[in-house]
Amino acid sequence: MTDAAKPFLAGDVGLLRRKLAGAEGPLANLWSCVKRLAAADPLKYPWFPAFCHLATGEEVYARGARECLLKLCNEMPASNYNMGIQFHYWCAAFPAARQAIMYDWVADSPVFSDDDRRFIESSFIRHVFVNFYTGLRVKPTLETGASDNQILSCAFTCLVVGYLFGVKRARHPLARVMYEESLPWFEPLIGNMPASGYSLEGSTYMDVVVGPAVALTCAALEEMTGQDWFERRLPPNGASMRSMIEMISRIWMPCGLYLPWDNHGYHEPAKMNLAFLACRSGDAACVRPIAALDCWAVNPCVGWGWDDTIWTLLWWPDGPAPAGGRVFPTWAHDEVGGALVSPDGSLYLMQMWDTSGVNDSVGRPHVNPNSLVIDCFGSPITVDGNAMESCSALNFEDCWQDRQGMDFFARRFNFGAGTLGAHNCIIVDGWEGLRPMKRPLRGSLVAFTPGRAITGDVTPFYAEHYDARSVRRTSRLVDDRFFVVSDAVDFASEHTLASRWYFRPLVSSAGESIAVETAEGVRLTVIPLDDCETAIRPVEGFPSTLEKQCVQVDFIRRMSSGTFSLVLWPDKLYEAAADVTDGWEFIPDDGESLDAAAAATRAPAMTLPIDGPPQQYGDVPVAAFGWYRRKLDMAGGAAIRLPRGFHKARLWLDGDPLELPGAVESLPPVLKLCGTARVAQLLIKVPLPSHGAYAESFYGKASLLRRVSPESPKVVRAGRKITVSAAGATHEVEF
Amino acid sequence: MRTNPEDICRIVSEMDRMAGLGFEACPCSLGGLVAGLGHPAWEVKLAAVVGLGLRRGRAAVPHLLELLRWEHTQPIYGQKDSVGQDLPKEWTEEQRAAYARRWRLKSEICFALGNCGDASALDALILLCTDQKEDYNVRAAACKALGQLRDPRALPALRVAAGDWEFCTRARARWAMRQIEG
Repeated sequence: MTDAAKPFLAGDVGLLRRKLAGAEGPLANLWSCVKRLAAADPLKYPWFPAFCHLATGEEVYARGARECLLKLCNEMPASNYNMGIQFHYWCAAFPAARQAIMYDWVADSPVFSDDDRRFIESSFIRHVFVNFYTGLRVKPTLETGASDNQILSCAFTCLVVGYLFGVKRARHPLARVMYEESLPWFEPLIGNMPASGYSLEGSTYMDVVVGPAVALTCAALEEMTGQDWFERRLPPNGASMRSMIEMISRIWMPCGLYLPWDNHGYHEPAKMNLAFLACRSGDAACVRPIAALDCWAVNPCVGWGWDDTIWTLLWWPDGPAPAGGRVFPTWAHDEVGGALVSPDGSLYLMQMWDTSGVNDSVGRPHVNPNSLVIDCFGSPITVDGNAMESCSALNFEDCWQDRQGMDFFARRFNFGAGTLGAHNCIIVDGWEGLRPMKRPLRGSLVAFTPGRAITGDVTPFYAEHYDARSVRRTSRLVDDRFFVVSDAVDFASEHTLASRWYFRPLVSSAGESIAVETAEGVRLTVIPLDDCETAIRPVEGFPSTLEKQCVQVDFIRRMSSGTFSLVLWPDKLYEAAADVTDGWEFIPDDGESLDAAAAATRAPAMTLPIDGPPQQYGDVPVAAFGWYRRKLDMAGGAAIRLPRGFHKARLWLDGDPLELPGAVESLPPVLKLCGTARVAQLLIKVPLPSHGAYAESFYGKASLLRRVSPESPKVVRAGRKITVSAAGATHEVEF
Repeated sequence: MRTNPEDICRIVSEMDRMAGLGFEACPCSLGGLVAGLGHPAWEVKLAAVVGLGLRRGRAAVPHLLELLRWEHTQPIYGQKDSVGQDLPKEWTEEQRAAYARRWRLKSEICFALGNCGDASALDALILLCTDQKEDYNVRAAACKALGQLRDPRALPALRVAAGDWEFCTRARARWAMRQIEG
């Protein structure tokens, strides 16, 4: 079954070459960019050359790959002096596996001598055996079923390096040991994941480690064994690789970031997970979010390496995605939660009730019963995730713990950011540090009307500590225009309940309602439907992403049973006036030798769109910085929305420097333009992608924006019916 | 640290030989593997230990215990001992090797002792499974080996290890207790 000459995991190479050679539009631009970067500076983009050789057959890329591989192998022995490889070895394991696969793509090229091959193979075998095989064997999966991103990474690495050098390319007995010992690990590793496919390590680990590891493992095992590993539901929990990748595909939010579900969150999602799902399931619609978000030119770090784009290109569907249909699904799963999404993806609400941690082990699986994540018009409104070390507001009194770490040092730290009080949940009698004390708990799905309403029951979280008989939250998306969130509670006695929210940092109050305004130009008005007190306080250092600060809002009532409801009304504060993505003059500036005056007049290298690395469009030098300039017709344009990743850019309008206030990493900054001229020159200096990490760069469209002043909604409640009116439209909701 | 390609290839060739001997169940493979325990390159020692674990058999146990005693004489480096990639120039090759391999040889000795199934390893493993001076990888490996040996004399130490701060050790200790207690 093993074909030594067939490049591993590459599928039909002829088909791959035809697919990429015939690509059009953004896919073609991305492929051009990868080839140009690989050819121009392979050591800066070491993940690209081998794939370029595979997909073109050109030896220039094989020479680049050889240079990268020899450098890598020469550095391997000394890597044992690194603390990373000693104490976080899984982070070095997973990239090594992909590097070995990429070696297989180029190994038969004549640019490699027999001595090169012997050295590279020996280096991989030694490196993986002494570091990751030994590390894998320490993990207790085979005895206890333990399963996480670390074990999966090490097992995959032993499997791949063992197979390549023990079975496929050569017969090294040591590689054979790694291959045979790692094979039995995958059934328990996958089967012990929850059936939902949600790994309990949170959306960040799901998206950037578990997803890529599962996709690659599935592809590898299917090629090695000739069996179906994608659909198989594995004991004891019944998870499958498909269920895991499908759950990961739901982690994409319409704002272009992945969910802050449990720990971390709010980063660019990996494209390769969607591409694998599309490739393996045969459903090209799976990759729709990539096109809808124009996120072609982002290459996020996945599994501690920068090859997301490579696997995306490899697994990209051969045909176009079918027309029509939703880009972002509305979904629910009894074990974990669900999402309401308007058909156009502009309004998004995710409600979660997944399994929590217990007592002092709430680290990654947070206590978040019925917590909500809301994203409107491409802008995150609520916040969640992890806190910075400097954040004292979430150091809840009963959440201190002394813990010894892998470095033999004991530390005192507070795990409050994982507990109830750090989430958009109901807080009872002010106990913010609430968490299950006896065993992990989760809620359950009560009702789901796709795209309309979702109800989750989280009574177990409260019943452990209070006289709670029922605690349920129903979120409604009304007429694809606004949300209503209702908590129905039933306690045996009266308690002080706070409907707690963490919003992006600009919050104002007007009477009983509050308004959140985001840096991307979106406003959310929150109107309580019941008499309550409102408490607002700023929180520094939470979340650890976005603005690294937020505002905590509590709507507080005394009650024993009844409902507690809020209307959440979103508005856009800008509308698009003109697309100005195209027509930018580009000047490379590797040594930062230009100032604004010089860059404003320097002859451009070329004119191109501003939606990603310039190498998408032409042979321009790989430079540390680039200058973009363009005349803008300011008529009707009060502001400009720039591509994502411009938070580190510096700007000048007709020579005057502009500030980028509130610009947030990974979101498109909106910049007010205050020039008086009808036509003005906007000059931008921006860091360009470097060292393969062009997640550090920019991507997406640029638009001129017109300011609008939406009318605030009027809400009338009459018994079980509420009427919400704004801008001449009336909406009615029956409870 | 060896970085010469020829050295790497030679060492991996020796490691391969150890793995190959480990696959062989014949009595004659023992001598080659035991000789590998004394190889100057720690990677070859490691492969020889793994080979003995694959091969199984009680005859290997005294040799593995001897290597464990030798490894106990070597310095233990933790994360707090980080000096980065530029190790002090005055360090000997032996110190460098100990810094590079840390817990790996000990944990693999534990696994091999568990596979070999001889109670003479019990005392050494009992000491290791709760030793907070050792890396957690060693404690976890010792717990697994004790579970394989299934000797009730290990239970008191395993009960302590079951409360270890580190997950792999805790999980393996509880598994080992189940193996012994049935």
